[in-house]
Amino acid sequence: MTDWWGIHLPRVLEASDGWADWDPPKGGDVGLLLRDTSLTALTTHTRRGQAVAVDIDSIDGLSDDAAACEFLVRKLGFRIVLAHHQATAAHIAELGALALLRVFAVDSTGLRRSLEGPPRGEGIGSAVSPGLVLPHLGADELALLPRPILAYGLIDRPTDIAACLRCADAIVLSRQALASARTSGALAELARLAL
Amino acid sequence: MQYTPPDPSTFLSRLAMYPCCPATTTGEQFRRALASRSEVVLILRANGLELAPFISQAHEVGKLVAVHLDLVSGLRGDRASVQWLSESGADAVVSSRGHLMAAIRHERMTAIQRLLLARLAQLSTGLAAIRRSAPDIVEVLPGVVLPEVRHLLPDLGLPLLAGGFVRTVDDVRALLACGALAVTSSKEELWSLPYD
Repeated sequence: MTDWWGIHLPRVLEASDGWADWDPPKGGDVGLLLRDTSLTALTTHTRRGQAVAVDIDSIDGLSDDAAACEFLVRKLGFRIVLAHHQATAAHIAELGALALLRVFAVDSTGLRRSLEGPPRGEGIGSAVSPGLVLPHLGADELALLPRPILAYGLIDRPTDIAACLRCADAIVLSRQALASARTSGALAELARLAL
Repeated sequence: MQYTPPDPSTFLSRLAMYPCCPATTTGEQFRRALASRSEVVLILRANGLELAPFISQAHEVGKLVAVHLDLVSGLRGDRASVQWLSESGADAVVSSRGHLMAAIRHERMTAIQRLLLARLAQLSTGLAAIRRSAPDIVEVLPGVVLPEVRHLLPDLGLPLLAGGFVRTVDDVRALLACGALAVTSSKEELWSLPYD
């Protein structure tokens, strides 16, 4: 499944700071995630209409309050927003976009602790960091994570990409990692996994 | 008479005597860890204001105790809480907060700084923080991915602990093979196995 509450989540999000040109790869389900950039770069890039996702907490100059959420979803048209705080994620979902709440999975104790709290409503999934840890989680731990699950961080090698795609609904890759996967022997496996 | 913790080199040598250090999250688990083969026990979750009797029990059976300042309840994570842990008898303190490493060392405890591997873009920030704060030991999390990302880490000249999702004997062996001095794990079945 790649549509969540009517919103399409690409199987692969290519991470970008928004300054470089981006040609959507042909024949793959790839979208653009803007992160680690500034408000200026964000607005410049979104005028081109390519970005589908944004990491709200990594945009210099941008808060994560209600006004910032409305700016991203209503004015700039983002359909997918990554957020650290549950209140931010809830606001994004209320606006009709897909929120992916950051989950830091550095150990089992921390993972369970970060999932404590009130149950999430509709429209809120999980962005697990580092994404590379997902293949190492037990089935019981994966089941705790509200879907869709985005694997975010340290996914680099083709073997890691394939492993993460098997247990996540989507993954974040750098441009370099995506290019490397496309030119490596893992291409066939990635194509099978809808890349 | 106030307890004096071992110096960092002694702590390190005790840590290296058995490669899997119990990471405990309950009082019951802590008591079981006292029967493990490890010389060091890590307290992850507990009431930070009531630790002294537990630490004292560990010392009575010859174990050293490292306390995770960021995870125990009741403590703020500042210099005063470091002093409190020292007075509670802790031998080492674990924290992600680099600015506390000097305070931990000032109290003559071993300073363990966590390096959280979340995203490549944030790695250089974490490494710079470690270079600035100069802890005695770096704990890499999630440890289970260390073999896959070891090539991204420069030689910091510091001993490495690896913790997080370490669940099998093979995980422990893979981490030791890629340069970890020891691992931390809450999986009790790993606490007393032979790793030679």
